[in-house]
Amino acid sequence: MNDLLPLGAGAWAFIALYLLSLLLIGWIARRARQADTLQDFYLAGNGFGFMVLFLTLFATQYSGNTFFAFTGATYRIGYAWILSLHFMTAVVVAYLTFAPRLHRLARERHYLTPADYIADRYGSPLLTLLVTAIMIVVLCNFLLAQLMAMGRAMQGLAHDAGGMAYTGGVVVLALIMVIYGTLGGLRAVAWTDAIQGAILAAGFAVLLVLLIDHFGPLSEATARIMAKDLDEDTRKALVPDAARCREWLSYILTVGFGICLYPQAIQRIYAARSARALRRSLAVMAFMPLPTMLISLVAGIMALAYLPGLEGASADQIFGRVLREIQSHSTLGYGLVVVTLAAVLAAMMSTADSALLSISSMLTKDVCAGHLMRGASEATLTRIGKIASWTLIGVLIVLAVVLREQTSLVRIMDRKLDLLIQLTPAFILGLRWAGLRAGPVALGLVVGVALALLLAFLDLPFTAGGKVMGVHPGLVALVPNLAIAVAGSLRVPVSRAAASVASR
Amino acid sequence: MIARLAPLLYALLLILAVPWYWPLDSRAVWLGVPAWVCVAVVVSAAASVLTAALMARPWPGERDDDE
Repeated sequence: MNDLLPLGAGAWAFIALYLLSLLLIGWIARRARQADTLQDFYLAGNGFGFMVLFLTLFATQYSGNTFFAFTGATYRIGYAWILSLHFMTAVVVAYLTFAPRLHRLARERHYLTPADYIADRYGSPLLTLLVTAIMIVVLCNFLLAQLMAMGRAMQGLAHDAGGMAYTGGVVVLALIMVIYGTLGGLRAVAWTDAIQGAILAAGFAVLLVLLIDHFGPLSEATARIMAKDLDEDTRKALVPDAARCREWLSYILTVGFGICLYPQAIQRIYAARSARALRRSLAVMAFMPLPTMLISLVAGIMALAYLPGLEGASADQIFGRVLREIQSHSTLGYGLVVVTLAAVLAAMMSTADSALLSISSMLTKDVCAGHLMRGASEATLTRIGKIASWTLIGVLIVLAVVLREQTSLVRIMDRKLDLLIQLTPAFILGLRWAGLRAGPVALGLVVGVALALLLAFLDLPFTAGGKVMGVHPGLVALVPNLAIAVAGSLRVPVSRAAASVASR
Repeated sequence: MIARLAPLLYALLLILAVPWYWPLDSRAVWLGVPAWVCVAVVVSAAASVLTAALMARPWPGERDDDE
């Protein structure tokens, strides 16, 4: 957002007011707590109804990526990024494969973290530890990316080419997040998500009006890009070639099954008050990709047609250029850009706070209560969870500052989903097939993770840009992972206890 | 009925969602966007409607007093 015009005092006051309101909500959520227990702190006492659940799912799923990386991706590859519409819809479809059974089991057996299900289903400490470790690593990576995006956003808003605004942005926004998170736990996070989700929805609507008003109809932009395609032999408006089509399919499967296995997404399934509330929330979520992804696509297409010049990773900055165009257009445009900026901050914070709370819950329940402090009281563990949040955010702030000039956002996203999708056999297949066993699942998981990382980071003759013929390395690695889990389970019969949980 | 057909319907939508079947030299524009983009949006909307329809039905084991 380095291209934005300087914001006035009124705009800063609006943003400050929004941030202060988050702290107020944290305090109200603290007063609303019903017990000093992990269940109350991390799952809000399993009491989320339809509206809060929907808004928190929405605000968590749509992050800073939606504005920056997705607009940047459209700018780079053109209309082919319409695939984002498919993969965001695929996320909700993927929920259908496991959310009904997982929600019922979580209610009956009082799960708190994703690993609680794994421990209950497979009875294997090794597999439980593996799943926990992968989820913590993935979420730390994700949280770090969000903190860095917040820093860059503040740097752009403050017009500071140096690092002061970046560092200040990371520190202040992260502190606000950890304060309301430790005050009210998931209740505070979800309530702030509800506000953030509403601002996000308003921001998207405003953006569409601004884009059409400023740049004109989409048909003109399409005509420009198509003419350029014919001149320069590119395919940004023309039909994608075979390689791009393979990439589409890969994105749909990897993102669909990857995002639904985020620990914070699984914990929202646990936190639903009822199956009905969860069903209704997911039903509305199924339609959210249409407005959000289409608007982000339109922003990228307008920029591609009218604001050429950015290449590679710097294309992620195109969203800031679009806002500047709108901001300088009129006083109304300036005001509406301020709302959009608040939505951008809201998107980043709502995604990051959920990740932070989820990591804290896994460190507290799965690591401390499970291994280091067996027998500790719920109040003690809740206190430890809060300390874990503060310690973790401290470490990640330092990393965000040190790693300031790093890779583009969408590349970070690709890697974490490559790892998360390796959990598909353990969660989704495990819920549907009672015969699945812990040993083969653990072995398949290790092979899948190792292969996904090797393919992503080694420069092999058959890989390009960390992908195998346009296919995500995680999806390729899922094949042997699944094969090992299934073949190994067919060889040896499953224990009666594990079969009992899976068949419920 | 719809639940039983859902895997088949999703597979069909997935096949239609990816524009592999369009001629590479197509320059058709519908409603101001390339025609293949229009089809992709319609297919995605169909997937959303199907998902919402499946979510409208009670899940197996869902109790009446769940709320």
